[in-house]
Amino acid sequence: MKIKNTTNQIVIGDFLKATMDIIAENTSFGYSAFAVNGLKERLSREFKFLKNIHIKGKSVEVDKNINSVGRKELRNFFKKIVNFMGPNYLKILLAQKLKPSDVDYLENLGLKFG
Amino acid sequence: MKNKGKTKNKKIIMVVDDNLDLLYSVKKGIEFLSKDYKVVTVESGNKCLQLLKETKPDLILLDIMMPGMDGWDTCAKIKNNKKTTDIPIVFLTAKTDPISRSMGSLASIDYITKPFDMKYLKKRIEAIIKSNQ
Repeated sequence: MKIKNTTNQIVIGDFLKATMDIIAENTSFGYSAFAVNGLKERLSREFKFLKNIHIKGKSVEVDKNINSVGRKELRNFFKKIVNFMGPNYLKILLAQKLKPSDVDYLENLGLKFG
Repeated sequence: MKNKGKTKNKKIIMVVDDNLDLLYSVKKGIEFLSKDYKVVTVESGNKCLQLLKETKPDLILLDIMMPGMDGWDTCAKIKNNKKTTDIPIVFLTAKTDPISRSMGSLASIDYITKPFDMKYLKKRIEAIIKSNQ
């Protein structure tokens, strides 16, 4: 999926980095890295494309072939992550941290930030 | 920290908190309410990690706000270690805000706020240990 010069690869990377930052700001960096890796592991059976995401320390690398993942699968993935963290709280902070193009992209998928 | 190794037939509960009064009251309270548990008390995250090299508790009750290594980092280190990753952790904390609760639920099996009722704590311990067997 590609909207307005952005891609799954870019948005997923930005989304996970923002999620890690939000957790770290409220807990600690070590806990944040553990928690996001834990979420990835928990969801990896359901979302096979997660094998294309590599989290090492503070860096999140996303392989290019993730761009072929469909809208429905992506929407379900983003919703699951948001729900794990308490939907309203994370949405507000994510909207502040993400680029406007990322927010447009996610809203286009069906996530509501407002 | 006299309790090295498992006492026969008793489940070991490790309590990690910098508040010595709390450590004392949890140990006395839980051991009074049930003879099934041996409570080991530790006053810092670092000491907890040290003790885990020698003993493997059945459950860890972990404070969050501690000087030095806080509960978040202690939890991450326990969970990132293959030898200790399966030990259930319950945050036992004065942090009552919903954000901390949400964050805590990402890695812990339960999140109990202070002050707490000792009978409630014992019930939660029982339920977690039973479900983990």
